[in-house]
Amino acid sequence: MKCEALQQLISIPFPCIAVTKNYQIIASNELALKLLTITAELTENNALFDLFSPFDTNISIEGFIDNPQAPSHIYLSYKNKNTFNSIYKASISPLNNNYRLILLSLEENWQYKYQQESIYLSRLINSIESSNVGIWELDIAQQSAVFSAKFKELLQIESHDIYSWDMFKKAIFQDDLVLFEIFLKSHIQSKSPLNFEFRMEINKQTYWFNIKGETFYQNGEPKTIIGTLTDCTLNKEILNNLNDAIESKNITMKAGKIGTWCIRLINNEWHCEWDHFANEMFGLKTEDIGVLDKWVSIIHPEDREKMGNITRYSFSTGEDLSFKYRIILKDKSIKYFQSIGRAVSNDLGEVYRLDGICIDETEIQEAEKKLKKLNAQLEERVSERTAELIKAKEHAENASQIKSDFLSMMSHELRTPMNGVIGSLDLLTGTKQTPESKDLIDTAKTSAENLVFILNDILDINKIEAGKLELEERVFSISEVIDNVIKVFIPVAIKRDISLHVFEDPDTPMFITGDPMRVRQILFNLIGNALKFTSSSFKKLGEVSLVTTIKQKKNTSGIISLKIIDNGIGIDKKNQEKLFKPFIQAERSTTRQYGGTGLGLAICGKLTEMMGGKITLISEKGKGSSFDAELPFLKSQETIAMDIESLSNIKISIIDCNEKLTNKAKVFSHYLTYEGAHVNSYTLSEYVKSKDNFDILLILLNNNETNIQTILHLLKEIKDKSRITIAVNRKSIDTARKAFKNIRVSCSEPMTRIQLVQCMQHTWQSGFELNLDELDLSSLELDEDENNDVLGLDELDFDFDITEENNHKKSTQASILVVEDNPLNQKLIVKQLDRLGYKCELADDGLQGKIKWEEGNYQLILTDCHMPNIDGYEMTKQIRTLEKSQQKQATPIIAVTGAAMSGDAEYCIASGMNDFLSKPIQLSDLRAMLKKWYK
Amino acid sequence: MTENQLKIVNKNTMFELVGDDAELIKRFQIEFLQQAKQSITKLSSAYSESDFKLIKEEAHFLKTSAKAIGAEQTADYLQKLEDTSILNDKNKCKELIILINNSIKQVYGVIKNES
Repeated sequence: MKCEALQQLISIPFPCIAVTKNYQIIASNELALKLLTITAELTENNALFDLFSPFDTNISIEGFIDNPQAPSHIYLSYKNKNTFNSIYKASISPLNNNYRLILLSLEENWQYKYQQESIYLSRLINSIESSNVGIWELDIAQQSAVFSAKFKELLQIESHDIYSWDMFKKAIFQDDLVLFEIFLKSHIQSKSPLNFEFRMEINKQTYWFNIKGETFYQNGEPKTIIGTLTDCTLNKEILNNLNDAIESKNITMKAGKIGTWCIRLINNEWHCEWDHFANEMFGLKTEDIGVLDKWVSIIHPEDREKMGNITRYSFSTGEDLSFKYRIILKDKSIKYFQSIGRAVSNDLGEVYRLDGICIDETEIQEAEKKLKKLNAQLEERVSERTAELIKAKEHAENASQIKSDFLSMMSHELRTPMNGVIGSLDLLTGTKQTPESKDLIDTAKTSAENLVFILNDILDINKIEAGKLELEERVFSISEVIDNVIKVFIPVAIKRDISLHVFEDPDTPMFITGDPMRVRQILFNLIGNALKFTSSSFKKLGEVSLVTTIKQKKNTSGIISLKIIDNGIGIDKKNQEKLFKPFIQAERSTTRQYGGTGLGLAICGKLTEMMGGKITLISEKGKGSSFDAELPFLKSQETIAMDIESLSNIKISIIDCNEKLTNKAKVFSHYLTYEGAHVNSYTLSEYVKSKDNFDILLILLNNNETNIQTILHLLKEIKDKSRITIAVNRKSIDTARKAFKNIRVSCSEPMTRIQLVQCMQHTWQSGFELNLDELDLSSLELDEDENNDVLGLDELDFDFDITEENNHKKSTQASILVVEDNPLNQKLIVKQLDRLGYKCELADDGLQGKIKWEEGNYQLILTDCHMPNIDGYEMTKQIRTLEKSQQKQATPIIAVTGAAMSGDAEYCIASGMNDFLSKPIQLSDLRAMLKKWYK
Repeated sequence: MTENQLKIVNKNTMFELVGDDAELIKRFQIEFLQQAKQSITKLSSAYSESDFKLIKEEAHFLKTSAKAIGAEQTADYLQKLEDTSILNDKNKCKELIILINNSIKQVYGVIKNES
């Protein structure tokens, strides 16, 4: 039966298996075994459901055979692992009574495929999303769209927000939207790919996006468009920048007429390339680019070899190259080029290419040619003109020299007799004259002196203009110059009732290097002018101020500003500029009214200029003028060394009688501090409370009677009034002198820095001055005048004088030498020795003593120690030395000294003396000493 | 000896030096006054010129004479002037010169009264 069944199976041309009614496999044909990739042994003795299981789990496999209700076929899943996902369609039909035939055919597993495809799709979407690509799908008919999460994220929209196709389009820039619609329409109609870039403004920032899409058709009609969206803002920016850079480079290269080139050495052959700019400049066709022969053919024949050599040299050495050459264009015109290149080496250090630029220098060359031509023409013209000018200058200089010489000679010649005139007038003023004559003589003298000043000015301006004036370089004190000038002008200011002020910068160095005479001349002219053009009236007090300021101060140099300010007639703008020209005054009427030559300011201007400074003027007609001469100065080691403090460590108290400390008190304090003084400034009320100690007291007094009384009261308590100075303005000076007798009173306005310091020095010194009246001993009547013998000298009948005669008489027997410079002591010791029975000889000092010792033969020397010429100590030393050298016996030498200091005796012994007596010598002591030493 | 115990003219001094010769003593006293007169001028001049060395020398010179005639107070001031001049103390020097001057006047007064 089984064999029969097998026979039947073999004859069937489809894969099939024979089973019993109990699903036991009986046999399988070859095709079934091949389909199931299984051997016959494995199929036999197995139940069908050992190999297969129903694919649809809802179907019961047991009721499948011989069941009329059962379907005609079922799907079986094969259990073999290698073919796990294989599905077989099993159709059952009877083979015979015992066996059933199962026909197998392979079916595809759609569900599995679907699952796999879903996974693939999901991966694909994830990949797309992760690469920042948004996905969109548009239903063309409905105009409704679906957007991926990434799509929304790119447009900065929350994924759960509703977003429509219309909303998307509205967000596109208007200009771009028009184009987008056209592109989209064209894409749908022409089936061309959709690829479009557009802008959107998101959160006030412009973004660039790229949208791509593909249309899907259904029944020939466009159904949907599916596409992507990417953010290309960065790309766009890079692209824009790149375009800009390229465009900029191209413009620059074109504007600069610059082309690029490259030469490569391949197999010992040169391969050349150049860009289209260069090609255009060379006048070649586009197809000529890179054809070396073409390029060589247009190079000027004279330049070809040189160029070849330079290029070869650069290839062999690796050095940069630079050369100039000419190109002959088709129209035979010549262009000038310069090529600059750099050699590029490979890893082995071998040069394999040259890269560089070529610059069209034709215009430059042409311009140079023209310039050379023009230069030559100009030089020719300049030479001609210079010759003319030299001639004219020589003429002018000759004329000027003649004028200068004449003026100098005239001025000099006039000055000599004028000195005679002034001298004579001086002598005349000393003689007895009537008041009228005196007036006339004064006028004549003033006029003569003014004439000499004018002559001096003329000489100066001539010297300056002729370049003959040389500035001195010496150390001087600017403060002294100011003091000197101010002193000259004080009487003028008093006479004209003008208030003259001086404010000196306390930082002004005391000594500088420069020309003091010329600085004085500048100040003299400017202050003189200010006083001349200023006056006082009932309404306005005329004021002239000199203000000095240190504008720049370095270690070795500086700039000082000398500003002269007045409230005089002033000068209008028009006339200000010409003021510094010689012989020019502001207006002719000025000369008539005020006199003068107009030389002063010209001299000031020139001198300032020569010193390297400048002079400026600020003025308004009717309101006054301010001339500011800024002069540079030098400081040297010498000037710095001279800058010593003249009031070092002196304690000065300043009392300002005004309610508050005035600027004057502050400035004075600065000046004095600069000189090393310790200054304390007080108002009167402050000082009354403090009554501080001082070395010098400076009182700045005003005209207030109460203040005067307060100060008088205050001064009662001060014993040493010699250390007090009262400074007061000129008008109150007499009142102050009356009120404060025996106290120094000085004028405080104007008071220069020098005056103040000198005033303080004098006050300080006066504290040390000995009043000679107090020390005058002339009242001691010591003359032996018979009519005035106060001391009864007539009664003295002995001859007190130790005359030469007396001395000589005694000297014949003298064995003692007395060396003493004080006549009284001489007489005293002579008397004492006489009383003791000794004769002596006298010497007035050590020098005389030594000489007498050499000449005489003394048993003893009595010597003072402190004497002129040679003192007692030195004399002894010399005598001892002589005694040694002459091998003489030592003479005893006794010191007689008034010094009673301890150590004196030791010093006497050390000097070679034998003993010591104190002055005055007691007779008993002298006797003992003689006994001891006189042999 | 304290300053107060110092005498304007100690008569014993001269007595001890030269004995009781009154005339001789007077001669010495007058000689001293003449010297003092010149010394004060020299001291004043040296002071004005701040020549402290000269002040010291002159003070020393006169001091020995003052001691000799017994002008103890004057000698003391002169010793002080000698010491002060070493310190260059001008203010103190001035003060002492005035004191010396006054003490010399007093010496004169004493001598005058004895005449």
